[in-house]
Amino acid sequence: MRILVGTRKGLFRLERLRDGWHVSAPKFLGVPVLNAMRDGRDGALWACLGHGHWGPKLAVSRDDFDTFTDVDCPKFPDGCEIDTDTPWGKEKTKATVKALYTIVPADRDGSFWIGTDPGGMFRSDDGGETWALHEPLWKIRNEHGWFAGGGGTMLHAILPQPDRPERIHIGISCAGTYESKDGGATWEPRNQGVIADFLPDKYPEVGQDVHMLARAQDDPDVLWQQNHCGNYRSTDGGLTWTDMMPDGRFDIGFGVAMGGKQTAWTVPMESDEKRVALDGALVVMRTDDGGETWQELRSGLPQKDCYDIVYRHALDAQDGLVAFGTTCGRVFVSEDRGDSWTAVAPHLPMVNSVTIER
Amino acid sequence: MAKVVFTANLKAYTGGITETEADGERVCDLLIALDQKIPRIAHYVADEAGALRQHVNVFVNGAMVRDKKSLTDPVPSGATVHIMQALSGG
Repeated sequence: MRILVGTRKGLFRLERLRDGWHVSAPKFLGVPVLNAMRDGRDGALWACLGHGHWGPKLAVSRDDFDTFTDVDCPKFPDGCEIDTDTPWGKEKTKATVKALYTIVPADRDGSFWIGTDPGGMFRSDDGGETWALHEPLWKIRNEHGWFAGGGGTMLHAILPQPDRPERIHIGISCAGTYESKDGGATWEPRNQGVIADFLPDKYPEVGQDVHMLARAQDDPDVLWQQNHCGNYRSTDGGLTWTDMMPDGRFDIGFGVAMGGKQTAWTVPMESDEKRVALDGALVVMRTDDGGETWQELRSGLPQKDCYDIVYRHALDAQDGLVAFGTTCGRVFVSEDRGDSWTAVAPHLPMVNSVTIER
Repeated sequence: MAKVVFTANLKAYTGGITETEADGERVCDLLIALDQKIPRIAHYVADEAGALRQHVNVFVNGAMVRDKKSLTDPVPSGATVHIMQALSGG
């Protein structure tokens, strides 16, 4: 078992050996790594970098973490413009890639999707050598008036259906969830039932702040989203959503991970305003009945003087292994679905992403 | 032809090169020429709209460039151009 951990100061790999979990030496020491993933098709490791000075960059390792090389970064073509806030109102400016938030395999060998701020989706069909803006979605971005939250217009989740990769769900903050059934040629909003309580119209067609999106591993129509305004499940491919934490206490966080269609994990935080651990303690919430009931999982997690939260890409689950990393640089792993936790890397830099290698 | 001096913090992305020569009437032209010699280096210095990255400075003969949006400052023949990491952390 291996886990890629993207942090504010580099990329780490955690590996489970016979005597426990081991932490690698970092790659890109000093460079923010926003996300990373292993491509199960050829074993390549991809890293989305966000240099403080030199801008977003994309890197790949084809020798199993030993070395990474730069590849061309997605870039907006001439003519793409966005509304930019200025002291005197909005102005049109040339679109530029501010950050790379997710990279996932697409529907053909050597094809990929990348999601960015400011809401551009890019595709490569040559193993990541070159990238092209996915124009159909960019057109929708402008027609539907996607806007930026504090982190920008973040296209942070791209979920091709594993056995039918032309069907794709994506999550954008702030636009909500969209679905394509034809490989991206057309897209439809999928936000019915999701509140946007920061807007005058509480249930708009688009504009919801989905923090993260996940798909059940055994049913492609069952989706979960951790939203800024609740925690939602859909059993019809995103056509309708139901708030599964209506009491509000545990309803805000960033990450969500799914197992089977009845199982999900989240790590709630204290309110939009404070954004710290709930009551000074880390708690993972798990449901095994589709969100009807929830268990508070605390064994092995700090239960006092704790202020960590978990970012959107920093929670993952696969085959009973659940892992998350925190803003205070701690990575916790559970090998029993969350019943008990071990701090396998307690002193890393702030964690941006935790990805179990598949 | 101008002499180009890179900040040591770019060394990891220039293939170890800290100084080189390149031709360009303006800073933006110089960046295109540099990118031919050192693939992808222009994207470290400027974004795809051609604007200088927020935390990067370019000096031509010791003077900070004025046009950070399009990098149209002239580069006289024989000039020395410094590409520097801006002081951004206090």
